[in-house]
This record gives sequence, structure tokens and C-alpha cells, in this order.
Amino acid sequence: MSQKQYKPHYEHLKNKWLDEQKELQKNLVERHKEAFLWLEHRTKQLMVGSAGSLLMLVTPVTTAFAAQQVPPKQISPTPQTTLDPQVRLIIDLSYSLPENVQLLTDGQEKVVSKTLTRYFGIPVSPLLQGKRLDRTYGLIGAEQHLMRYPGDTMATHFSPNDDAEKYYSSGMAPGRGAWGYFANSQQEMTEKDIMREKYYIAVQTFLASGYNEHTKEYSDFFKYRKMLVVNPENGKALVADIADAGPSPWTGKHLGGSPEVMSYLERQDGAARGPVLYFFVDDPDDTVALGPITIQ
Amino acid sequence: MKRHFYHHLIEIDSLHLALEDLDLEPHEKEDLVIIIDTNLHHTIIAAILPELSEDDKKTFLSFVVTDDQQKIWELLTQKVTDVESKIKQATEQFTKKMHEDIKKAHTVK
Repeated sequence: MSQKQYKPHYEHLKNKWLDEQKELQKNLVERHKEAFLWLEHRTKQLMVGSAGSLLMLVTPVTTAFAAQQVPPKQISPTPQTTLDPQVRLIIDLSYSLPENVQLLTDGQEKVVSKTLTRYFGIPVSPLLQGKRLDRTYGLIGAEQHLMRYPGDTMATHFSPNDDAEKYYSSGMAPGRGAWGYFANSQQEMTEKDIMREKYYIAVQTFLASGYNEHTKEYSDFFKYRKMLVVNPENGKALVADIADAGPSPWTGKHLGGSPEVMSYLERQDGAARGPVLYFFVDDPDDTVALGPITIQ
Repeated sequence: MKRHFYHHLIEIDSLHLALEDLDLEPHEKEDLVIIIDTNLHHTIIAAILPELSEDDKKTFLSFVVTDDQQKIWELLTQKVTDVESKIKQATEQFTKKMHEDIKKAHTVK
């Protein structure tokens, strides 16, 4: 049976740090033996056979998979290689994301964007062409369908291949998106226009730093700009485009998603909102398709 | 990620970033992050225990086991002078050493 090969610098660090962990544990228990023995006796949970086992009492549980409390020397990547890639992504993101939805630090954004780039195989970034939104981690809420051309109604909105029944109830927004109709008429509407409405998001463009001073420039930049939107709790992701501005800050939401976006991301709790990550897709040649994207 | 009682005092994003710059598979990075978390945890416990009496050590460890963060801080602020600085200092030394290790790992073939 072939043995899986790991990168030498990984092996080097893992072995070095596990040796240090053993030494740390040994010293800690030796220096404070009375307290640890008392703790062990009190909890009556452990078989005391080593310094390490005593330390297990106060060892952090960092992730679901670490919660198995595997003795340090037994930490092995092998079982994890069978993890579903989406689960792996969820775990990876959990290292960087705060417990609650809040503004990410520069460091967190950098780690998250690199993680997403690696997983999905497309370059994503919080900053593109010197512009950024005010945040990259926020609560997404459900939006309605947008009129794609003058006269577009719920009766004309779906093609035979669409799951009209599923999305019909969302209804259509009374006004147009921030950049008007997607096409001048039904006849002129292209497949790209259809996809732009289907997978649109509304973001708070008006909160972007520099927007008020350079509104036209920023508006042009944001128009149909592609973003990778990820549900960090289930690993589902899609490439969406910005086709509307909103929601208002008083709603407590930070962005909105079309019915199709919300459905795919499974991003609707009882209050029809939930946390997502959203980063610009660097796609100067327009080669990245809108819609669901799978891990590479 | 679990928030330990010292979470608000530590800043180890830079270590996660440094690991990102190593050519690692996702599961390899996950392993190393877990080891870092565990070693940092032991480092902080090791920095606190010598500051406590034998009885307070027992009380402290029992609070750590039950993750009673409010009681941990009530105890530490009463019994340890400038405990937050001590935790920060231990973390900084730990982080510095980890960075050195990661830097050296770039040269491992």
C-alpha cells in the first residue's frame, strides 16, 4: 500500500512543535504536580499515565475535529484527507473568522481571501483597483427579483428551465436595480443579462470609502462587478454580480441576495438573513462564470 | 474556533498568515494551527501558574476545565499583578519563536 507523502517543511514543523508540546506538558506538570494531581483526582476522568494525559484536562478544544482529543503524537492528517472539501473549507475559515459577524481585520481579510482563492481557484480580494466595500463579512438578506427590461413581470421572468415554482413567491421589486434595466428589451436580452439578474447581489456601495467624493467612478466600478459570496457555515459559494445598491444600514443587514443566490447558499434563517463572506473576483477578461462554484 | 479566557489579549493572525505563505495542503495547515493553539494554551497556563499559590492553582485549573471565564478573571485579577501584561508577553515570545520556526521551515527541502 502506498504511503501518502507530506511536504518536508510540514513534517519538520509538525515534529518540532509536537516535541516542544511534549516538553511543555512535561515541565508544566512536573512544576505544578500537586495541582494537576488534585485536579485529576477531583475530576476522576483520566487514566493518569503521563504528563500529557494530565494536561489533557486543560487542553484547548479548537475545532470539531480536534474535539476528539487525540493525543498530540497521534495528530495525523490521514483521516482528514477523506473530509468533504466543503467541510475542510468550513474548518479552514473557522481559524480566521471571529465568532460573531463583524468587520474583519486586514490580517483576517488577507488570510480569508487567500484561503478562498486557493479553494475555488479564482483570484479574490477585498480590494480591487484601489476600491473596496466597507466590509467583507456581513449579514445577507433576501431581495426580490429585478426587472430585466421594460415590461418584465413575474409572468415573463422565468424560462422553461427555471425552477419558477421555487422562486416565484419572492416577487419582483417595484423599482429597477441601481443601474437600471439589464437590457433595453426582451428581444435584446442576452444570456449574460439573464445570469446577471439571476445571481445578483445588492451591496452597500454608498458606504464605500471614497464613494461620495467620486460617485461616478465608484458607480462604474461596482456595476455588475463580480464577487465571490461564501456561506462560511456550509461551504457553499457562488459568483454573483453587483446589480443593486443596498440594503439601508438601519435594516441591520449588510447586503442582499437574489432569490436564487439565497436559495443556493441556504442562507436564510428565520429572519431571512445570515452571515456570508464576499470578496471581489479579479476577472479582467470576464472568464469567470456567474453562478454556483465548486471547490477545485 | 473556541474562545479561551485570554482570547482578547492574543494576536496570532500573523502566524496564520505566515503559514499561508508556506506551501501547505489545507489539512497540513489545519494540523499546524491546532498544534500552535495547543502549545500557546500550555504556554499561557505555564506563565500563570507560577504566579499563584498552591490552592489558587487548583482553583484556577478547575475554572479552566469548566471554562468559567468570569471566575477565571475574577481570580486572576485578584491574585496576579498585571496578569494581562504577563499573558501578552508570553504570547509575544511564543509568537516570535513560531515565526522563526516558520521562517526556517522555508529552507527545509
